[in-house]
Amino acid sequence: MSNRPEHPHEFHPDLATERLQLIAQVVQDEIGRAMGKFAGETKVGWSRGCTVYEGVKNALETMGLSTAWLKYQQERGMAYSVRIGEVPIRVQRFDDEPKPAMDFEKDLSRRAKTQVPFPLGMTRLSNCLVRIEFEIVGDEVRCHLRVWNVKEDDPVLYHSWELGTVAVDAAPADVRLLGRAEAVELPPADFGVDGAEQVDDNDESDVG
Amino acid sequence: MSDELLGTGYIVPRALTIAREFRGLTRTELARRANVTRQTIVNLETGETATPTRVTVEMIAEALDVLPQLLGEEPTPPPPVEILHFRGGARVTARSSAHLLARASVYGKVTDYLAAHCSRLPPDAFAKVDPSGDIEDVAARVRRAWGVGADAPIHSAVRLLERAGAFVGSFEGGEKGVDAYSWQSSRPLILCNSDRESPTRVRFGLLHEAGHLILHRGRETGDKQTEEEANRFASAMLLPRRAFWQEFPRFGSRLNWAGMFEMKARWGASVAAIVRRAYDLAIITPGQYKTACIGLSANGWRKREPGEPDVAEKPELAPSIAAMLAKHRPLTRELGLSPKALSELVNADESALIPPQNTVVRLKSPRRPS
Repeated sequence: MSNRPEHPHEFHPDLATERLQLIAQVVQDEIGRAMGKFAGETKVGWSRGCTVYEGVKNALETMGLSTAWLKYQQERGMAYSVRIGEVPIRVQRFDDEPKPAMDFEKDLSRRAKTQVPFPLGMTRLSNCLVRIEFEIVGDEVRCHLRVWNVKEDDPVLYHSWELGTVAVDAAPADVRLLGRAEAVELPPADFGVDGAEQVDDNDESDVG
Repeated sequence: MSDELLGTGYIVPRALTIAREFRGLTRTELARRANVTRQTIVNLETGETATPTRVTVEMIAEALDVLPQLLGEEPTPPPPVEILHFRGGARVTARSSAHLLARASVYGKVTDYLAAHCSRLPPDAFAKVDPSGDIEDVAARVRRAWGVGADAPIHSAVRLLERAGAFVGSFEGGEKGVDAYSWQSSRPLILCNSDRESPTRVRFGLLHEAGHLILHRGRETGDKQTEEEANRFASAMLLPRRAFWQEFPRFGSRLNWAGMFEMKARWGASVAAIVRRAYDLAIITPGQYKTACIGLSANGWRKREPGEPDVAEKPELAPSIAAMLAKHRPLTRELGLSPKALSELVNADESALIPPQNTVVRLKSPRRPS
């Protein structure tokens, strides 16, 4: 794609890479935690998906309470969105078949069109949807920020920025997501000293 | 003492230079301590006097707090200066640089000796870290792989690094421009400045060096970019992003100093590092960061920050090995160092490095059939 912004913050100044990566890390951590929780079990895709959804949603809601640039918003039913600064964003799993815009997304986009001061040159994007999308490929979790241009109900990808790829690290299920982890006191480094033996001066028995 | 002339090659010029620089002495200072002329030192270091008297050698060795034999052995070459990673706030002077290089040479020799006499040591986990990708991700991978979890405070940075295969030592002597330095020898070696009054700064310095050893293996460092990368790594190790994000105290748009000092106590990171981390993670605005920096300076916290731990972390691995070996071997004699010099170098109790009088040393030999 030509003339596309290289970084998300060039698309909108509120989309600082640090902020996006932090949210991506929440997603990646939650997937790791869910993997740990259901490790070794089969036919648990649905439960695992629900766990990821719930974990990410709760984490973002908590984060939204304590930071100025992130706002969590409960939408209808189980749908939710967040705002990074002024930019409305949905966090969801990536699908090869782009999901149609949800009503609240269209509403957000409509409101954003009038409220969000997109940089000059970007205003031709009417009905712009911004999503943080994650996908699990093999044992990796990939996160992207994708901007979709909605024509009718079918989103057309405008641009995508990679936010990070991490190996799925099955975290122990008992790791509390939002708890305060206490420091682990590691034992000292293990070592062994070569076979020198302490021999008394008077002990001549082993001297040849 | 006899004043017999010793044979050619009794003093290796480079060995004398390194021993002198290891002690941080100029030629004039050494001459004064050893009660010889400066010209004698110059001649020995340049090889112009190849046959010193025994008395001269012994006086010089005593002034350097080493054994005479050390001056007659080829020294371990100091690491090339371009692979040394220095952390500090100021430029390193030529004299400091020579001292630190000489110290690196002697420390390298000692740790090689210690490692050679160990049957078991932690493997070098630094070499196994994939340094590619975002520094935050690298640090997160390191945290998990090295057993401190993704979101927990690091109890002991020294222990973490030693368990990952590094030897950690310290140096004293007012090298004001240098907090710590490191290089990759047969193992990762890190020396930190024990004169620093701030234990949290020492912790940060150790992890900064770990950042260099992981991110900049075989590369020259010291420029702005590599220093910032190592700082970023140290920050991410000490204050992992996710947990920091959750715990950073917010008080509207005002800075919550009390909350930050509570964080300091829990995470073992200075408030200055916490403020910087909050700025890097875009939790506070550039304006708030500036205000915080002014506050740190105005309160004198740049020089002495309150809430420091009582004691700084101390190396454990090298002193433990040295103390154990000293029970079985004439450690100081084999290394050519006085017990005092060795104890300073590896941070061990001097008394633990002196073998018992009634002990002889013998390598274990196969048992003969009875």
